[in-house]
Amino acid sequence: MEDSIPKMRVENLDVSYFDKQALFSINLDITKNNITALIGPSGCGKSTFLRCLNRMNDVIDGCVVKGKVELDGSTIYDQRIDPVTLRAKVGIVFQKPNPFPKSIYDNVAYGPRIHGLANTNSELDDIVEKSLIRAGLWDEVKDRISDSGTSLSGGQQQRLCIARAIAVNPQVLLMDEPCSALDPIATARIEELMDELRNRYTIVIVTHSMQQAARVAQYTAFFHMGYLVEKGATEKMFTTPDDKRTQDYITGRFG
Amino acid sequence: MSLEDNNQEHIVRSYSEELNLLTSTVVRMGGITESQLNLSIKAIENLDVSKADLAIKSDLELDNFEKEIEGLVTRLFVLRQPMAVDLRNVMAALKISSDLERIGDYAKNIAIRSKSITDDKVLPIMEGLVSMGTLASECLRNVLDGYQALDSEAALEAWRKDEEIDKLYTNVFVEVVNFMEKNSGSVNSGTHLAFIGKNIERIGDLTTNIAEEIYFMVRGERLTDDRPKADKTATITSNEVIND
Ligand SMILES: Nc1ncnc2c1ncn2[C@@H]1O[C@H](COP(=O)(O)OP(=O)(O)OP(=O)(O)O)[C@@H](O)[C@H]1O
Ligand SMILES: [Mg+2]
Repeated sequence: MEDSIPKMRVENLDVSYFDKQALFSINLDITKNNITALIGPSGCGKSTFLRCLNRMNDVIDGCVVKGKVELDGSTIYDQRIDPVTLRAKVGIVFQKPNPFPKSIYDNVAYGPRIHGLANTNSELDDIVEKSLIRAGLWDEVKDRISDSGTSLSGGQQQRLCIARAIAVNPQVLLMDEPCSALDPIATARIEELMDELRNRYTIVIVTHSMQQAARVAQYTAFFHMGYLVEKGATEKMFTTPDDKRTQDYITGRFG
Repeated sequence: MSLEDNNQEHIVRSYSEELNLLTSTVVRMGGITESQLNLSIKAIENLDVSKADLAIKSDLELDNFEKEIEGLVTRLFVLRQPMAVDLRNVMAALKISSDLERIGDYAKNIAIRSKSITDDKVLPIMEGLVSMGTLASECLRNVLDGYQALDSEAALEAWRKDEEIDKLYTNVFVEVVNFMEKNSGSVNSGTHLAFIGKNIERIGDLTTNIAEEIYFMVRGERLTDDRPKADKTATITSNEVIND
């Protein structure tokens, strides 16, 4: 991952839940305007790692994070950093679409409102429209913008959550298995969307689908039992991985 | 991560079985190609029409093998979406089978041409062609053994030997042209000889392709240094031949 500037840099990251260590001295650069896929068997620490990137672990009971996580060269684990502001810069989209039980409009407007990104109603309208366009959802919802977000299909809800995340102008977008509840068509639309979004954002995605990682990510990192075993260009990882554990996992040979 | 270190079975056992079937089918196709090539060489060595006919006939079998392998590969791609070593394995099978099929075409062409040579004045030149063919066949056998044994070194060795085939070809080519200059009544047979030489040279090239595919399949890295090229026939002029 040497060939472009790191947007985020993780050094010697250790994470524990109470006295159980979940991640062991992880080093990983997240390159700018690329998609980085995190893969590995269930429980290997992918979600834990992802949550370290925007301090979502702060609110988890017993979770202790040690080591360095930088965004554009400055640490994000600092007393002076406001986690809410950080999470606007480093947004997250979860596995299960989780729109608020509010209108489509309010779902997207929520972030810009609390961060004071719009001075007037028409500015807010603008942000909502632009975010929905970027999330590839505008054409489908522009005539029903006051309907409840929960009235949308699963795939549409997930794109709504993406619109909500990008409405606050993030720099990094974290996605934790964003397509696992979606059918192949909805999945393809999200993947297509991710590819467009990466011009503007840096994306980190956790996925259980090797094919998805291969399709969308420029870089892939393989986690196993709390260790980062191998990282590199996606094509290399999937054709000629260096480590036997990577190979066994991606070829379906894991016990 | 090389293929030699890969000893574990897939969690889905039928996947391993399908890969094994693919490999063994390629091995069988390789065996048939090898014996077809040997028949063609026998056919030119003794102008033996019955050997030639056998060589011509086995071409159909190779075509069928190629189709069968294509089917197995398609199925693996659709059902298993192979990755890493498995992907390299499947790709190698597909490419090797197509190279073998083309080797078969050249061997068949050699056999057909052997039947058109009626002029025994050419027999002394035939010796060079037979050595060339024997060497090509030996390379093919070594490469195919390397495929079965996942032995990238064996493949590499055969890959290097292609230079010798090219050298022999240059010599044979000069001999053939000399022969035609002196025996204007034997141009027809001489032309067949030149093409047979060219066919064997192509078989050597395809064999090196197979060696490269095996090397990548096993090691996960490409052979990069340029293969030595000793075929100079493209630049030989008539004067050089006469003065040789
Ligand atoms: N809130 C928590 N409290 C205690 N332990 C936790 C907590 N969250 C995760 N863990 C433990 O940390 C380890 C890593 O879990 P994590 O959720 O990061 O794995 P994952 O790779 O995302 O797995 P999956 O693919 O199943 O989502 C596991 O052993 C898990 O049990
Ligand atoms: Mg997870």
